[in-house]
Amino acid sequence: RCFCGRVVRRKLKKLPKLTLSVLSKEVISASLSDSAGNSCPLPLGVIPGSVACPNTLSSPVSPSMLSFWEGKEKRFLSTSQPPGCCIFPPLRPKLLSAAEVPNSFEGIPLLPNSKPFTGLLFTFWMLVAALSPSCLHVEAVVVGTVLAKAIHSLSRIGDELYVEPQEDGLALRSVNSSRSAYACFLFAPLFFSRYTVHTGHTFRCKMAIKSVQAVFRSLASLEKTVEKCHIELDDQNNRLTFTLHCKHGLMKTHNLSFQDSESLQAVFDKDSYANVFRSHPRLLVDTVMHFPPSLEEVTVSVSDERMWVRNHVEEEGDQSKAMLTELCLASDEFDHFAVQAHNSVTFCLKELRGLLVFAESTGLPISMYFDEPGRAHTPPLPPPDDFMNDDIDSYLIAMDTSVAPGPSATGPPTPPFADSICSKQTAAASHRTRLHSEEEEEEETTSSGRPPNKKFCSLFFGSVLPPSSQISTQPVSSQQVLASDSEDDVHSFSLFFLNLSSSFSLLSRTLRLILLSLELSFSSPSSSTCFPVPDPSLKS
Amino acid sequence: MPLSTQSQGDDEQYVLVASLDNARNLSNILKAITFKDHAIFSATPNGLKVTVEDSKCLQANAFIQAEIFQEFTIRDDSVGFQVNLTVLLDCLNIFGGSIVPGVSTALRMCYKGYGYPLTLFLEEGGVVTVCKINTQEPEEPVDFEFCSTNVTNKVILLSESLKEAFSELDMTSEVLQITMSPSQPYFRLSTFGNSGNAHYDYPKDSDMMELFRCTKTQTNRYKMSLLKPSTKALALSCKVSVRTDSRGFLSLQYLVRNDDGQICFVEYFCCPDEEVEEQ
Repeated sequence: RCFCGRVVRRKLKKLPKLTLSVLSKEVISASLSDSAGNSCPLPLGVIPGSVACPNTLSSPVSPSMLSFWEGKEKRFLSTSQPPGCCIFPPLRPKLLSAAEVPNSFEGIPLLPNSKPFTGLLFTFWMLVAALSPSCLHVEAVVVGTVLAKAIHSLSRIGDELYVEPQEDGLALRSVNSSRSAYACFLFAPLFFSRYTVHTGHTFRCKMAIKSVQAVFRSLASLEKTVEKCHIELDDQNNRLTFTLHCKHGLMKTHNLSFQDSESLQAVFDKDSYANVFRSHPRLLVDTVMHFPPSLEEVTVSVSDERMWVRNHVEEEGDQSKAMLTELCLASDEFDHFAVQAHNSVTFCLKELRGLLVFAESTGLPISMYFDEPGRAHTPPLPPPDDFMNDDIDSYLIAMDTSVAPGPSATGPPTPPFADSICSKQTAAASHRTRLHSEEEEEEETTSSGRPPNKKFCSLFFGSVLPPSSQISTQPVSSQQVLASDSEDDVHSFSLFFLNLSSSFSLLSRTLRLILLSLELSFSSPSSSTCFPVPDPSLKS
Repeated sequence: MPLSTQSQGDDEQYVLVASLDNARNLSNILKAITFKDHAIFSATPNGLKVTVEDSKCLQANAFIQAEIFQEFTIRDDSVGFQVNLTVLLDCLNIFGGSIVPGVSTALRMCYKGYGYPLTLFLEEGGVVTVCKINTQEPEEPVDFEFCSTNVTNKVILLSESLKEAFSELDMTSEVLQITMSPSQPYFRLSTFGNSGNAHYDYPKDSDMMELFRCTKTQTNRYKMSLLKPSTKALALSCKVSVRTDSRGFLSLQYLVRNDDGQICFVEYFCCPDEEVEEQ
């Protein structure tokens, strides 16, 4: 249903089977097929020396944990390349066609209708992995301060720590409040002296990161006194227990409470990024050192031989007080420097600093991937359809409304959650996790159109639970749609509403958000038609 | 030293005269008990005792023996007065707090008696400062009636292990629970904060445990806000003795070595927060 803008709907197809074929030691091909027999190949890249990851995996899979079917048999693939950890500021969805969407992969939940993100992406590699068996509780015994440093690094990203014990390791993740930066540390089982995790039961929880930081407060004393750290997750009692065995027989036990959480995974396609760089963290540390600590955003521009890093100066700001700092890095300062697209990206520096502290302490190389900022292409409009009669449980609604009219085909592709400059874009949300950013700063570098004369911009963004057959078995908390509210620009904000059968509190929150948008829309002449008619079941 | 050349005749008027070559020997100890403005000074021929109290639930005492002082003269059996501790510390540090080796502030503390101010003569590098601090009627310190015969559990620990634990204590917890037991967990500090609970266990055979004498399993809770000031004393000390009596009252005794290697004691008494069933 069209209002002031366009409605784009995506019908999710369920594609349950992912097939990986090993073509050579370093190249794997993958294809997805659904029950209807449709299949599509997934483009895979090759990361030198490592196993390629299908581009729709949510996190780099530890290569030795990669398993796949060959025919009807399950096989495991192992390499010696360690898995890694990623930080993504900022993220932009790239729309894929429905056929490209996988539904699941070996227990690592993918996002149906998942879109690999473009944007700037940092990763670095950590330790090796090995297979390991199963139990109901996660128990990990670990020595060393790397875990503590990872937690401190994650605390620079967001306020909450998402813990997900997986077969291929313990994943610690965090995302910032505006959903523009995400970090994931995947500790492979081999990192621990003992690692046991229950298979068949995906467990996720989140907790305030400050409470976990309190366990590992002083890195210096940790190094000196802690001999062993035992982490036990007891989901029946809702406790995550950290036991630090210290010198002189002292034992510190921390029982932390947690909440069940949704899955927090960013989807990205490392292999499809046009620009790839790798360097020792020292280089990046020395680069960011020149910027004042209060600096929020930096712009990175690349050409074939050079990379420029400069602070981002608001054009509307006070020009007389602005100071522009620019550094130029030559390609030979990097271990790897591959540029295919001469682009610029602007991102928030704060989260990067947190990562750099960690990277520098471990001395591991950092890889940087980016493409275009906010690249998203406009999907073709679906035929007009009766909103209310649709199977609400299985589609996504993304609607971008604005006063300014205009055809969808014109203008640069821009993501929907940006400010009023971008008026026409839509994006589909993912089922599970959605991370996107509100890079108003990016829009300044990418949008070529002039901002239209808008009085407001509202975005309704929907995501739904899987079809009703699965609803009863899945807790609402596993549903995850994240969207960010733009704090800065009253004219643009994003909303999300969850499945209509989700809990009432979520509903009421959504209604409140929707009402908020109505207030703003009253200034617009077209406000009366700008609101979707809710589904009758919603009213009940 | 100029102070010592003062005519001895002046001393006749003073009820109490105490001299220190290094005023830091006194000021450091007093810092360990400064959580309230006012302190009760009680001097006997044995030495000086300074008491600070909080809401009748917490009492801190600093003991500086007469031997610590270069000169300690007292005319009566006991001399008592109350002064503003913050002001006193400011005066003791009047030459600045920086520690330069070889340079120290000399102190001569004189008190004429009831109604007279406390007079401090401070000298450093030839410069003399005279401070007169008004004294007040000394309040009677609470007698916690903590006697050794009533002690059920006693533990002496090296301070460095406790220092770490106290610095990491979860401040969102209202209480600090201390469990002492002849069996596991022997000696345990527990907090119950917003994010969960934490336990610090010290086994009885640990290197850090100098003495372990527990007769009965006892668990007592003490208000965190009351015990927080004791961390200052803990930071200065090298050993701490933790004792609880049958009522659950807590006595923490800190052994402090001053700059010259002499020993002073700081003691904290704390009331338990609530009755906990003994296990």
